[in-house]
Amino acid sequence: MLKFNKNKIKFYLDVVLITAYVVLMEPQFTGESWHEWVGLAIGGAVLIHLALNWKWIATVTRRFFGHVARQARINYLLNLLLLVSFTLTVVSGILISKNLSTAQALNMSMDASRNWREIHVWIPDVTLLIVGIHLALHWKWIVYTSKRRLFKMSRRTQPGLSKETAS
Amino acid sequence: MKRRQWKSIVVFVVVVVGLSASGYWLHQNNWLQVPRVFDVPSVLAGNDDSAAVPEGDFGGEMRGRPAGFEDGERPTPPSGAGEQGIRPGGHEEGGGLNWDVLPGVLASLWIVGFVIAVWVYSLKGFGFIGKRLQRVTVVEK
Repeated sequence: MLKFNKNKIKFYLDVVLITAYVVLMEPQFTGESWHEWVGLAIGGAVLIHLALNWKWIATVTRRFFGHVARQARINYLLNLLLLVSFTLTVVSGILISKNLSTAQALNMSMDASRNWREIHVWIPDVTLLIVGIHLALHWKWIVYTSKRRLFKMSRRTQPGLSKETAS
Repeated sequence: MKRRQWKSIVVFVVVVVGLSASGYWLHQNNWLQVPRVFDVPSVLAGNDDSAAVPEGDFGGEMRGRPAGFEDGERPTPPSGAGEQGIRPGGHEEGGGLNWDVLPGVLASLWIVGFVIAVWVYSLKGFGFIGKRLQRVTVVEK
């Protein structure tokens, strides 16, 4: 029977997500068509990322105004900001998409289209900075998991991580 | 000094030198500029370069590209890198990756790396100072 290793999936999904996002920051690298489809796929991957971390999200949401570690609260707010900026990136991308021809389908004016294009150019830069902070906040987990996954280091060789850090 | 401390210092030096050198190179070649994040007024006013790009032109949308690249020219390559030429047209429609703009991807990666380094080392620095202060306070007591 296949063993479902959540941490492993989380790690490799995150590696794919960050790589794809950085690559998509330069649309000419992949070409417009790939840029749009991979962008949509990233939107789906983010949903999986959220689903995999749902337990943490639900717990902190419930306890946000109660007993919860300060770092978890900061993490939560930053993640919320990241979700908003990422959603804006994907939505603006869909609205100006040439493959989907959304602007035509919605009868969007040239001005509106240009504004959404502006948003789609600006917001990813904001998102990139937040992604950097998001990664920095989980840096211990990233280093620990990278060593285990990529360099096959055993648990014993690593200093233990607290549950809070790992989440 | 313990071996682990030496290792941390070496990693810190490598990170600083690596980020400085790569950042300098990317900036010198016009791939890395101040992110548009900090250029809110012009974005809101819609008077930046990308607003002037005609519909259908995929150029000019990205941050930090070499001058003239929007016009379909290659960025000035480093000396000895070969002759300049016109960027293959119609790339937007597909046909593989455009390796000419790889430094643009690296510039984004650099920003992520820079943010992580600043954040992680700031926290380490504050932690270190905090511990020292705590020790001084305990000794004084």
